[in-house]
Amino acid sequence: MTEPLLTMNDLSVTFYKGRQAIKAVDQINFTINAGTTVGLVGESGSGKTTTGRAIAGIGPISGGDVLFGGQSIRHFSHAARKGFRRQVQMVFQDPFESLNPRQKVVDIIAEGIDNFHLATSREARLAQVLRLLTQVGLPADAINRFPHEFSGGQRQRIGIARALAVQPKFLVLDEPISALDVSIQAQIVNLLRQIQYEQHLTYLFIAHDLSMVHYISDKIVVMYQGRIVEAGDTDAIYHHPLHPYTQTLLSSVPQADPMLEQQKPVLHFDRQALDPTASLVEAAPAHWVLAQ
Amino acid sequence: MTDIVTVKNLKVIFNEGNEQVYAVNGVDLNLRQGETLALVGESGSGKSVATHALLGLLGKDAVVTADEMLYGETDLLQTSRRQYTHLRGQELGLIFQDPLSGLNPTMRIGRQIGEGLKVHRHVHGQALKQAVFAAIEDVGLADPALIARKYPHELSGGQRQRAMIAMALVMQPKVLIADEPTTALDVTLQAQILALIKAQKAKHDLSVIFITHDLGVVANIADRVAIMYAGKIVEVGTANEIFYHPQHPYTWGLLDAVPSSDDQRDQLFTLPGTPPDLHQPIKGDAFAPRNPYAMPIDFKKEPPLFQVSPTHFVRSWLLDPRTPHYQPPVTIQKRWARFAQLHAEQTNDPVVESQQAGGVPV
Repeated sequence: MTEPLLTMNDLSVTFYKGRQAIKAVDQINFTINAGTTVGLVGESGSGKTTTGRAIAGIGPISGGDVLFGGQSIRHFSHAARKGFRRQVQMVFQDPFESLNPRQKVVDIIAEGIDNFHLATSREARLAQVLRLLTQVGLPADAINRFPHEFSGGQRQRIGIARALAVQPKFLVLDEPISALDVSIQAQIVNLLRQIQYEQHLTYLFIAHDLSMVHYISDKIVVMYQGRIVEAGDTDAIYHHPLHPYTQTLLSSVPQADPMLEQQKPVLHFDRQALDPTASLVEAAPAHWVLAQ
Repeated sequence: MTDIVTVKNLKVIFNEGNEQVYAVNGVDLNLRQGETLALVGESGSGKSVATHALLGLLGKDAVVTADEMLYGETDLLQTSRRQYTHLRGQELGLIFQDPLSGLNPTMRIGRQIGEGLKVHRHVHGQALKQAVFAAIEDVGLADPALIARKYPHELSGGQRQRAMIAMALVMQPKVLIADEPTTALDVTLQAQILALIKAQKAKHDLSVIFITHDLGVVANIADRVAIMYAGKIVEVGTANEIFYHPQHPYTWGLLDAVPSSDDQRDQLFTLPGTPPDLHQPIKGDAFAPRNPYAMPIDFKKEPPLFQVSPTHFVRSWLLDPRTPHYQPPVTIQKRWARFAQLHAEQTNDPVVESQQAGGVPV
């Protein structure tokens, strides 16, 4: 049994709009084992990005807890928090918006190295940046250029290099390929898999593109209206989806296969509110579904 | 089937100061009455520019030339800006990826949908109201009276996309051009919008050009598929021909970059290199530097169009009968086997080996 690197215990995030409380994330529980990838899927507004931000320590937590290596991230000592901030990094969806346009690539990538004093000299700092560029497949002459000089795929590589600069253990990947062309998506997914294998990284892969999630994830968590409606091993979820929402979501994904698409029934999910009293039940070993 | 749109040798060059960008480099395209043609390509392949040229939407910095550009009997090369405005308002509908950029934020939805009818068709009063409500209902939005009173920002993403489709369809266009209309949507919404476009197409006998880079969406919606690379169409065929009998190495690359539902590969296929710099005219086959199957001739001479079947055309030297025998990637061989099987179920004729069939360039 591998040790869970992360454990969500009744994690909740509530936002207030005037007096109205919106439960963006409502008491969710799941674990992420070291060295694995968990795919977090759901539509806009399902709470998946809010969950990712809470786990990465850059979003609010209203209730419950997240354990990182067995320790609560809400009750860290100052030193422990600093270590956590280094070990958990986030890669964002839009490489056009998440990189500072006025900074040179070398300074973007070295930001974490500087913040955590990971280089002892200017030469060491530069050597680290060059090594990271090689790792993500960018040329060395990229260092003195600005983000706008790069394509979308290259910018996402810069974003990944920036995250890797502080030698993290865990990456929250928030829709890292949604804004990219198909063949570039494959390049980034290949790169992420290779880095994961080489550095034994753990991923939370947040996405709405379910075919890539299927390909990259060991486990899938499906969110709807801030709650988990289904969770389990990737193959179990894809081959035997149990919750009507999961079934609709999967049937909605167009496959690159015209014969299949012509025969496929389009399912409709009755978009009513979930029963607040319903809880997750283990329908099959390690396959959880919200009771209906 | 008759062609409703015919484009021959379309070229678009953008003037950027002292530089030129060769965005579209000789596109031949025909849209048949009642079909959906998917135009597939990556950013910079020229798919949007080509369709914008067709619609007369390019600015003064674009030089558009073509041997022929027809909409029905109308010669689009001789069409004035004023006539184009009229055409776009009445016959050629357009929907965009981002409904917010296609909708006026300060105007109520109902007024926007009715605008074209009022201006071009002089429909007013109660008749206008009825037409607008019918259009809103037609795209699956309940309570048209309520929706008509709202502003774009008061609608959800899916409702806005439906409202924009209603705005395009209320004029009963003959041709609908859909420029990545579902790229920004969640998959469940995407499935609904695709179903809606298909239903509307059947109901109104629309001809549709659907621009996308998502091969799943293509498989769902297209009758025929044209693959674009560096401003040219490199392969065109029926959906079955493109997905199960693809011939161009670029098409192979695109298909292999998408994981299948039971993908066991450690790494997905990716094309080496980057798309060509379109600031210079390209010598030889633009795809040659990224083509694992490239031969010396690919770098020297542009391939002609080879015919594989009456509906399937490919621009690649691989189809030349003088080309030494080659094997496509295993994943593509599997697709070919499927095609042979499909073909056998439908006719008794064997599939002609493509290289022989493609012996004659057209």
